[in-house]
Parts: sequence; C-alpha cells; structure tokens
Amino acid sequence: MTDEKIIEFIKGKLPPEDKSKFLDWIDETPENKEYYGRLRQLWDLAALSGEYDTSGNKNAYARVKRKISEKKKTEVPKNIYRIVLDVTKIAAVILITFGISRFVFNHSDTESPVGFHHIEVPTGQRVKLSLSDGSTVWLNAGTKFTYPDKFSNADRMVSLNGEALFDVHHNEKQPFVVQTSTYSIKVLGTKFNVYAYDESSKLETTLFNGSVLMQKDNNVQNDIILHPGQQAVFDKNGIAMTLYSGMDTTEINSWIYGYHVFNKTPFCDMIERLSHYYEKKITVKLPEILDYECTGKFRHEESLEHILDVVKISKPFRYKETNNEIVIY
Amino acid sequence: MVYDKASEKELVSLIILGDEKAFRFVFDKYYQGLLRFSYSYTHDTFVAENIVQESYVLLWEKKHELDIHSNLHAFLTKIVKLKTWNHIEKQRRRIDIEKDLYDDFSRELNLKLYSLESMDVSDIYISEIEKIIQETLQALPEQTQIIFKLSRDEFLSNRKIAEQMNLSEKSIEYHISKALKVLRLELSDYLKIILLINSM
Repeated sequence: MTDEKIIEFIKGKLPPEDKSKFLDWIDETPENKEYYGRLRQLWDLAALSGEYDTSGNKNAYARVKRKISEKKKTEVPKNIYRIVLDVTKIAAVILITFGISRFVFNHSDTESPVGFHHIEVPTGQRVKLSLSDGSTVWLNAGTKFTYPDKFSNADRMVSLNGEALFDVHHNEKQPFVVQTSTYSIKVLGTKFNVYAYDESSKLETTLFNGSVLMQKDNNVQNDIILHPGQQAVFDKNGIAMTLYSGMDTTEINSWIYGYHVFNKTPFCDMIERLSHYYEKKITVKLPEILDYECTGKFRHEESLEHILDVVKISKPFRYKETNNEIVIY
Repeated sequence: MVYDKASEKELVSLIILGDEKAFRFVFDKYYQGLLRFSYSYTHDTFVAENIVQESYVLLWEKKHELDIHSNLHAFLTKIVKLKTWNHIEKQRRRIDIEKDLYDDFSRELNLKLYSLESMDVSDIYISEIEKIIQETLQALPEQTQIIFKLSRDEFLSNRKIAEQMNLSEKSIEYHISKALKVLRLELSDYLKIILLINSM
C-alpha cells in the first residue's frame, strides 16, 4: 500500500472499491496496521500545525461566544425534575387514517387555482396522508400542510408549518423537498420527522433512515447533511444549529401512535408542545421551572389539565385557567 | 497588547484572567488546524465545526482549572480528540446493528477509533513537533509545498490537485510521498516515542 493511497483514505477520498482493498490490507498483518498508525500520526500532527488563513473565522468565533453566553444563562439552578409515570400497556392502536375527512376542516380542492391541497389539522387530531408518489405523511395537531395535486417532473415540493413525519418513497430523479419558514429539507427517499411550527422558536429535524440535506437561503454554507439517528435543532432566536446523535427514534415518532412522550424535555419545550396540541395559550410566570427536565408518557386522550396535575405532583406550581389561556404561576 | 509576541505562559495567564482578546487570539491560532484534524476523522464539515467550537466553549468554561504551565494547543487537541472519538463511537454503535450492510464502513470506523485511541497528545512535545513540521515544509521545493498544503488544508483528492495544478496524478503522488518521507524522517524520534507510550 502506497503512502499516497493511505493519505487519500485519511482524507476520505478513496473510492469504495479501493477502500475495501485498503481495509483488507490493514487486516492482513499487525505491521500494516502499525505502518498506517504511524502515517496517520504524522498526518494528524501536520493537520494540527501550520499557519492558516483566519479570515473565515469570524462567524465561527461569534458562534462560540453565543454558546458561552447561552450556557451561562441556563447554568444557574439545575435541579433535575422528573415525572415518572407508570404506563399501562394499551392494546388498541388508534387507526389514524379513520375519519380524516371528518376532522380535516380546510381541505379545499376547488378554491386553489394552481391545484394545491391545503390541510389544517385541528386540535387533538392527527392525520395520515398518502401522496400520489407513494409517500406517506403523518401530520400532528395544529399543523398546516400544502401539497400539489400532482408533483412536477423536477421535484416533489411540499410546505409545512407544524409537525410531520415523512416516509418518502424513493425516487432519485425527483427529490422530495419540505419547505419550512427557515430550512428546506431535501431527500430522495427516507423516513424523518420535522417539527417546524412557524411561531415556535425551534426547528427540529430527526432522521430515522436514509439521509437528508437541509438548506437555507440558497447558501451552501448553511447546508447540513443528517445521518440516521441524528437530530438537528435550529434555534431561530440565537440563529444557532445544534446536532444531536444517537436519538431514540421510537420516542420521536410516538406521537403518530397517540402519545406525548417527554424524555428529559425542558419544561418550556414540553409546554410548547402541549400548547400546540391542545391549541391553548400557556403562559409560564415562574421562570425558575422553565429549565426543569420532564420525563413521562401520556396518552393523547388525556386532558391538558390532567397532564398538568400529574406534573404538579413532583414540582409544585399552580395554574389558573381562563377561556383561552392557562397561566402557570 | 500584541498577542502574537506574547509567550505561551502569558497567553495562558491572560485566559485564566478572562481576557477575551487573548481567547480570540488563541481561537484564530488553532481553529483551522483543529478543524482539519477533526474533519479528517468525521468527514463532515458541520460535525467537525461543532466539535471544535464546543471545545473552545469548554476551554473558556474550564479556564480556572488551567495553570500557567498548561499547553493550550495540547489542551484543545485533547478535547477535540475526545469529542471526535465520541462521535465516531456513536456512529459505530449504530452501524453495529446493521453490520452486514455496512461491513466496510464499520471497519473504517473501527480503524478511526484505533487511530484516535493510539494518539498521544503530549504536552511536552507538541510545540516542538509543530516547529519541526513548519521548518521541514519550508525547506521543501515550492511546488512540493504547494501540493502538500492543498492536500492537507483543502482535503483535495490527488486527482483534483492534478486538475488544479495542470499536472499528472502520478506527479502529485510523487510530491506528496516526497513530503511525507521528509516529514517522517525529521519526526522519527517523536513518532517512536508516541508509539512506545501507546504500546504500554
């Protein structure tokens, strides 16, 4: 094995066939592996040293500074607050396809001249859609979703304001694009969840399998490629993107089976989700509980009041309810 | 304060005291190098950037744990190395489940983990090594220097470099292997030490 080939491997530039051969060579003898190890060492040292162009560092440094100041804010009192619930197994899986036409209020075929369907999912409901290309989409409560009658030849474009889980039928020639108020999410064929309510402070994309490309403002610099099990969280206020790996995807998709699942979810995020689901404004006037981590599983049929009552047991707070608002204090 | 004239000890003291300009200086000094290092394992710009940025956040948060003899570059490299290792390890754990499908990929990840594990970021040697690398590269013919830097800094494949320089791929390979040979020779003492430490 030549040094140049080894370096191409390190840079990730070896074509798959050569990579296979290279890995076979590594496995052949311990000496080969050691030879590689020494060259790798040399390369690492060379990569770490040297004079560099710092002109592109400005944005990166700004991000570091923002991360530092964000940490300061959340660091203060970090009590871990958990709601542990015994969940009895529920045998019946709710058929979400049932009754779509009854629950979907604004499903209007005729009003839209360009042949778009607009769907608005009401409070406390979920909708499963089968698109003309063979893809399946689940829409969560309070979601607005637009898709064309028939997809164009170039791509499959849909737009989302809310939460949806996509199982996209593979078609290399026709990328599937989900437009949100910030990022566009481009895929060929894969399963992923998007949490993107326009008014939410966050956009979350979680990938189950395949791969997705997230794009923003037509700027390649913003491109993000997700791998299975990864979740990208875009904070619209801080304009910061965080990537989490090793996500438990069964938790992420539990909503399509009719559960609210919280796993060390910050109180404020939990409240935001509940507020979307029950379409109720919730105001928290107790800033110290915003960062508490909540863990628990609730059925969608439970009332919002029931959930708050359970949460209250482990962390005392009070709430009052008016016609269209709940105030936690 | 002219930071590039400051000694390593002065820089460390300023950072311990919370001097943001010193922090910025250290950021600029090592950021690209750490990024190259992390990228050469993750092959993902976004992941590598995140890792290196988080490492700087950690340096700032842990500045009170530094002492005047701390080597900032070694400190940062250690954190970046650990975070990169964690990332690759997570990838491997996930791939293990679908092993048949990803045989080559999982072998590649294991090899990366092995490389990272056997890397020793020794406080004593790193600044000397840096100096040797820089001096060695500067002593090479200009053409070789340019080609080596394109390969190291831009992660271009040999084919791409060949296109860019209007040379054959073979001659690019020749320059790269020449640079590696000279570097290996100049660094031979240090590379042996590193391997000895790791085999213990």
